[in-house]
Order: sequence, then structure tokens, then C-alpha cells
Amino acid sequence: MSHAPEDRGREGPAEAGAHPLDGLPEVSARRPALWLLLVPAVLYCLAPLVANRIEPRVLGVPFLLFWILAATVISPLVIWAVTRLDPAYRTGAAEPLPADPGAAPEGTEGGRA
Amino acid sequence: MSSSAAIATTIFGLAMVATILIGVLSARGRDKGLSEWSVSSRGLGVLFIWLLMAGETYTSFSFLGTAGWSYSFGVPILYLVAYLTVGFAVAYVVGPAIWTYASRHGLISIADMAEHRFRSRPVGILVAVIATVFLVPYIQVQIQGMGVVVNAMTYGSVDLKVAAVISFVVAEVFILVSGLRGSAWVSALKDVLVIAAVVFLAVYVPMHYLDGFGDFMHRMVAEKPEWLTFPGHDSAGKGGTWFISTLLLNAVTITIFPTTVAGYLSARDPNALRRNAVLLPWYQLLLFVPMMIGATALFVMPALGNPDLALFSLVTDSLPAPAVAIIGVAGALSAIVPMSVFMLAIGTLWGRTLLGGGNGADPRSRRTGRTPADDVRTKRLSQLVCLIAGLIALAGALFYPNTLVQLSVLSYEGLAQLVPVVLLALFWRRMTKAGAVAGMLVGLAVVVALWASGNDPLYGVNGGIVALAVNLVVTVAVTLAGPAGHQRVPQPTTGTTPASATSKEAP
Repeated sequence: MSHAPEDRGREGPAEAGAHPLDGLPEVSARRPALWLLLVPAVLYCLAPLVANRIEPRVLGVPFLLFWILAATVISPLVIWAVTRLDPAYRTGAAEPLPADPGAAPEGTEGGRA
Repeated sequence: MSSSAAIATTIFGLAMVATILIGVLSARGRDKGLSEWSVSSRGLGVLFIWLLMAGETYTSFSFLGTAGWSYSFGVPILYLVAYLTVGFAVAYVVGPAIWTYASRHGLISIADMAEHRFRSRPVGILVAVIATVFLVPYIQVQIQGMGVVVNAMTYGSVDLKVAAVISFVVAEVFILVSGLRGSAWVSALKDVLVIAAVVFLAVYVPMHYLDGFGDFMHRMVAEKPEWLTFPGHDSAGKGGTWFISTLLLNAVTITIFPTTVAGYLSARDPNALRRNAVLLPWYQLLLFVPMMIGATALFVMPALGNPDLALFSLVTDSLPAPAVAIIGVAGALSAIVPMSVFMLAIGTLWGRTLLGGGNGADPRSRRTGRTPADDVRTKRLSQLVCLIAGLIALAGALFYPNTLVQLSVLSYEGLAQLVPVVLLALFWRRMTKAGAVAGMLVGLAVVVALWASGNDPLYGVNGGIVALAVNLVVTVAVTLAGPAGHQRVPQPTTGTTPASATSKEAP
């Protein structure tokens, strides 16, 4: 099946309005900050391993509960730090998808078709 | 009817009318097409995404089950906060990834995405059917949860079954008319009530029944230490291993829940989702409150027949009718909002992929929806399925309250088996249709086998994560064993980059 070049790979029904990806930059830089997103998982997974006890109590809160509470407060701060370090966030870029390289190759497709 | 019951019932009735009005009016002046109904024309900003997705995470389980687990088991309930928070970290990448793929190709559901990714409508249909099987019981759980909440808040004067029917009618009316935008607006009302009710209870309950929060903690440590460390009190295997495996499994699975994906796809741009990965975890702090109240009930009502009523028993016991009613409305809306999005998600899964002839990515299927008339027809079909799915769940709630609910226990484990076909497929270019389907079916077989044979959890490990591991091994093995390059359509060799092979169906 063939597309008019202006379809830009939209197989689905024509949606009203501008294409949502219009004007979004692509990000090609590496994004090492994404590794920080593992911090929340590590914090919670450590809870039953290193914090499964009542003492010491922190401000009266049993240690395990304190650990989980702390993880719940620290996690969004870590995710916030990721946004500060992530070039995709700072430029508002679309997410790079290895299985779907996106607009740039598609743009050249009009010439091939 | 006592005067308390009359007051509470009146407030509940007014709240339901307000809900319908807000939900229905939210669609005024909007586009009538499918993408408006299913994903709000991909136009929601940070605030509405936050309201909607916070609304989806705080369900009637938060008021009933959270307090109930806390009352019965203790710390194992912390898995809820853990997986939701970790899930938002995962969603920082997954949300924009799904948004990018779906927006680029005009897709509206995970089945639509799978169909497009593998150029195969049967794969899309399989995804839609599997997702539906595990979502319908979830709707039923919400309907029944609503029944319990409304029955408790009206001091028993509104029957469980009447409340179930009311919840169904309210949710269907605004979701059919307004689609996802209706849910987002009702969520605004709901989130305000939930935050107010929960913050109030956090202060009031420990003060009223005990000498404040410090005394509550002191008594927990002194009298109920078993509740404060894993595996909790009498929790049937919910120890540390269960906690870790469940939180990891659910954190990944929630990012591809059809309802979560509806939220992603309604975003205006990817940064609205990334910003919400920062903002949404704060909402989870509210979940600690029903946990604390459930534990407080241990001291006040040590012999509750139904632990799920731990929170509402304390509320009706200690507060005047208007306050009970407002907290009850918050609880009722916590059932209605997720319920409406679940029904919408099922409608969306079926409307295009199963009934509407697919999205045209499969070379064997006819192309639909290119004209406005087609689009409206697909939307009508979606709305019809949305109604039917709700009716099935309602019938289950009224006539077989226990049958389907058993299945809902498996919801996360079952939907987890869709993670490779929906998510891994976006990141692994080589992944083939054969690999995806084989992995998904084997994973589901493992889930069902473990559950049916009573081996879930397996040596303390969540059965779903065992199944997902098998699923991934099969997916990878079948993909690598098959021929490289999954594209059936021959590609022109003139492209400078091999990456363009999967970017779209070839001319």
C-alpha cells in the first residue's frame, strides 16, 4: 500500500489538527542519567533485606516503615534530578525508539516512494 | 431511615448528579471522532494528565483493601506504594516511548500498537482479547467496591446491589458521552475530595482514638510488632521475596496497563509525561493514611468480620453524617473513575482492532477509518463494547460476586505477559511476531498453571514474574531461531539506513 508523502507514516485514521510530533526535536545524545531511574527500585528492594526491623526507631517510626517512607520521598527527587540531566527532557524531544527510528528516515522516504 | 442515613444518602445522590454533569459537560464543543473519545485528541497538558493518572491509581482498593491488608497483615501492604512509585520511574521512559510510537502512527491502544508493530492484525486481536480477559474482573472489583463503600457510608440504607447499579450507570453515562476527557474532569472532583478526606483522617483518627500519632506508633511497637516487619501477621507467604518480586513485576506491568496507556496517549507532548513521573509519586504519600487507619482499627475494633471495612467502620463510628458522606463520596468516586477508564480502555481495544477492521498496518486487512464516517463508525463500535464490558462486569457483581473476582487476583500477572509484545517490541528491532506470540502464550500458560496448582507464590516468588521470565526466554529464543528481518514486505535497498526497515510499512 502506498502513502502520499504528507502522510508521514500515519497508518491510522486521519486525526484532526496538527500532527502531535510536529516540531518535536529528536535526541541523539546519550542519556546516562536514565540509570538513576533504578534508584527507586533499589531502595524499595533493599527494604526487606537490610531494613526488616523495628529498631532503631526514627522519630518514633519503626525502621522498616521509616525506610519505605524515606524511599517514597527520595524517589520523586531522584526522578526530578533525572529530568535536570536528561537532554530529551530539556529539549522536549520525542523518545528515541530503536525499533522505530522515526521522523528523520521517514522524511527521506517521500523521495523513495 | 435514620436522619444520619437520610443526610448521607442525600449527599451521595447530589454527588452522583454532580459527577454526571461534570463528566457530560466536559465534552461540549469537542471533536466527535474516535481519537477524542479514546485519547482526548492527544491534547491534555501536565495538570489533566496528573489528575487523570492520580485518579486511576487511587481506586476503591485504596480505601478498602489497603486498610484491610494493613489490618490483617501489616507491612506487606507497603508493596502498593513501592510498585506505584517504582512504576513512575519506569514510566519516565515507557510513557514517552509509547506516546511517541502511538502518536507517530496515529494509534490508540496497546492492541493497535501491537498490530502496527508486527504488521499483523491477529497479534493485535490476541492482545486485545487477553487484556480484556484480565480487565473485566477489575471492573467488577470496582463495582463491588463501590457497593461496599456506599452501603457503609449510608449506614446500610442503600443496598449493595443498588449501589452497584448506580455506580455502573454513572460511570457509563459520562464515559460514553465524553470519553477519557470525562474521566479526567471527574477525576478533578475526585482528587480534591480524596486529598481533603485523607488529610483530615490522617490527623483526626489517631487523635480521636489514641493520643495522637506518637501514641499510635508506640502501641503498634508494644502490642503488634508482628505487623511491622516482613512477612507480617499471618500473611500466607507475603514475605520479603514476595514483596520484591511483586513490586518489580507490578511496577513494569502498570506502565502498559491499557488504562495507563490511555493516559499516556492523551498527553499533548512527551514532557507532560516526564514531568508527571516527578509529580505523581507525591500522590502516593496519601496511601499511607488508609494503612495507618487500618492499623488503628486493630486497637479499636479487634474483631472486624470484614477487614476491608476497617476504614469505613472507624469513619462511621466517629464522625457525623455529613463528614461520613463526603468521605464516602471520595471512596465512591475512587471506584467510578478507574472503572470508567477500564471500560473505555476495553472499548478502545476492541473498537478498532477487533471490530473496526484494524488500523491498516496488516497488509492482509482492509484499511479503515480514513474517512470521518468510518472514524465515527469505529467510535460507535468502541462505545458499544464499552457498554457491553460494563454490563458483563455488572452482571458478575450482581449474580456471581466471587467468581470473576478470583480472576482479578491474576490481573497483574496476566497483563504482565503483554510486556514483551507491547514494550520490548519498541526497543528490540529484531523481535519477531513468532517470538512475541510464542512468549506471550507460554507466559500465560505458566501463570494459569501456577495459579491452578496452588504454586503461586512459588517459593515466595510472585508467579507472574516467574511466568514473565519464561515468556522473555521464549520470546528471545524463538526470535533468534527464526529468520532475521521480520519484514515480510521486501524493502527497497536504496535506503541509506537499515533502520528505516521497520519505520513504516513500505511503499
